[in-house]
Amino acid sequence: MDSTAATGESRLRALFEAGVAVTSELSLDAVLQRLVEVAAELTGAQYVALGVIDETGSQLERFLTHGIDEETHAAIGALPRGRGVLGALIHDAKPLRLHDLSQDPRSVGFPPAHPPMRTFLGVPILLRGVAYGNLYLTEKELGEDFTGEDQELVSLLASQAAVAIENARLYEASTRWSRQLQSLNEIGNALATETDVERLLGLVVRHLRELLGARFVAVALPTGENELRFAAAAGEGADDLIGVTMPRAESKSGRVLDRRRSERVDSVIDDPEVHQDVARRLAARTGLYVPLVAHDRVIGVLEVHDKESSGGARFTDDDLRLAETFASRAAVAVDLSQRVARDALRRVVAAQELERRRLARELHDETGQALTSILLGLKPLEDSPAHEAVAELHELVVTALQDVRRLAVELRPKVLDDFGLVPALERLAESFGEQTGLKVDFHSAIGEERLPSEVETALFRVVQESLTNVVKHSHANSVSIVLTRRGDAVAVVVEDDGSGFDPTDSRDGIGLLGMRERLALLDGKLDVESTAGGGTTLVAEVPWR
Amino acid sequence: MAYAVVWSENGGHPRAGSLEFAKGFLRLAGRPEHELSYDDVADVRIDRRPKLRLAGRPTLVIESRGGDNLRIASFDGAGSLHELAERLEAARHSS
Repeated sequence: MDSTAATGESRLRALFEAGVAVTSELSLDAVLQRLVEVAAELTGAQYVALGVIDETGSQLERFLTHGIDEETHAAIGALPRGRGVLGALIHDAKPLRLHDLSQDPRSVGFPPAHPPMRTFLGVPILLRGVAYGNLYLTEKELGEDFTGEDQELVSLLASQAAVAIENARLYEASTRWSRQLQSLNEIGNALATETDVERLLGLVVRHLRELLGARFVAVALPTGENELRFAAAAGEGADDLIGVTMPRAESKSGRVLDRRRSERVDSVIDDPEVHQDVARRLAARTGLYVPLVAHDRVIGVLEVHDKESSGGARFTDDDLRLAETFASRAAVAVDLSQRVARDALRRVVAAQELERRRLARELHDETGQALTSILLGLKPLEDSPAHEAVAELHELVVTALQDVRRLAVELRPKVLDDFGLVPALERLAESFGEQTGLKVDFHSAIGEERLPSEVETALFRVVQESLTNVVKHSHANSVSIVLTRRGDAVAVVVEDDGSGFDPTDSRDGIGLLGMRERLALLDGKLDVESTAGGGTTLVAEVPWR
Repeated sequence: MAYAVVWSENGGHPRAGSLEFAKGFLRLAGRPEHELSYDDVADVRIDRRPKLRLAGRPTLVIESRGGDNLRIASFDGAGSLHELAERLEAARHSS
């Protein structure tokens, strides 16, 4: 029997105390350190180390030692990387006893400043087949080899370490779940009470950033046809990013939006789809990109960048799933907000048209009729001595009547309500051509059938606005208006031979946004084709029914 | 902000285009273009008489200090002619 290794009775006591520590100590580090000390005490090992592999399996999460002072620790430098004998212990999770480490063919030697070590005992930290790390000892006292009994005792301690690690992880997981539930609950409550979508998205990105331990989280929403705009962000530089746009076709978020599938990027700089200007601005290394999908419609993208915990750590599958859960909440918020906005716009447009119709009718039926009565009343006075004054009055009333009728037509042409879109556009084209000197052609290929009133109104307003744009911006000589069917849709095509413009220019000075919004209320769309000097073609399309 | 207008210089052929209030002058963009310094404007009024109308609409009549006459009719909806007159007066007084 050796002189300093514990006796049978003291070994039992040490094991008992180690067991008590596992069940009573809350700090995992304290439990593991206690097990390391007990291992040294029971076996007479000069050096003991316990390494815990993180949940990704890529690096050591914890490393506790006995026998190495802080100065030596610092001199040795980086933690073991799992090569050589330690690597064998990790990859082939079985106990390993060696007489001389340096003689083992798998040995890769020690780093400078590392104390010399010969005898070795290593055991995996295993529970139900899952490897959590390893516990290894070197330099048994008096240069003796570690025994089979040492191996059994250390294996027992390793099992206790495994239980402690698993308990800690379960506790951590339950705490994480609790925080996730709390966050989701808070977001759910906000969804029911908050109407400002950007504030809601701000809440989503802040909570997700906290739960993932991410450096940066943002939501980008489509704006116009070709761009994405950051609507909410959390993390360093977030305030500067909100409102920044990026091209949809040249960004990872844009591609994820098109593919409708989440993606994890472990190296942002190496991904050719990532918009590198934005990535540099965020100093992003890694990323998660998750589409926001509501009612089978993709309405934005959630971007997450870089774990804060330790350099180079990657996002896990669990992180991606959590981001997807938050993305679905964000999608609900955006969808709800868009629906509310659409409903509000629909009500405004309907109210505006109703008001225009009432005013037009009032002008036409009341004011117009009154002026006509005055004209009739002036008739008998044309031969009176005051005939010159009467003639002046007559001229005034005639022009006023013309103005009232023109105004009524501009507000809401009666022909649109009474006879439909085709006659209304015919008259619009004719009067517009007469008044501006432009050659305006109109052709209809949709027959006599009336369209729903809101469709007729929307298409009439689009043509009206387009013709005004032609005068204002294109300096064209001629305009063609064609009303036609396109599959299941009715389309109006307005084409001019004017100066054209750059349709990718995001500044909306010509009312395209208003036309788009109006058509979108009817599930329609607006396409604009134009080149500088090459005229402009505008196609407004609305489903037939 | 641009307005859709038709204009005529000294009773000539009407032109269609846009009207913009630039810094120091009024720009009528079309074929051809026309610019008028606010300082050159002698008088501004709205005229509804038939013979001074353009496209059947009342006009904003601008008399220049050199004696030229510019008539402008607006296609930008009810009230836009008065808006043009007000903005032109404001531009003249601030120039």
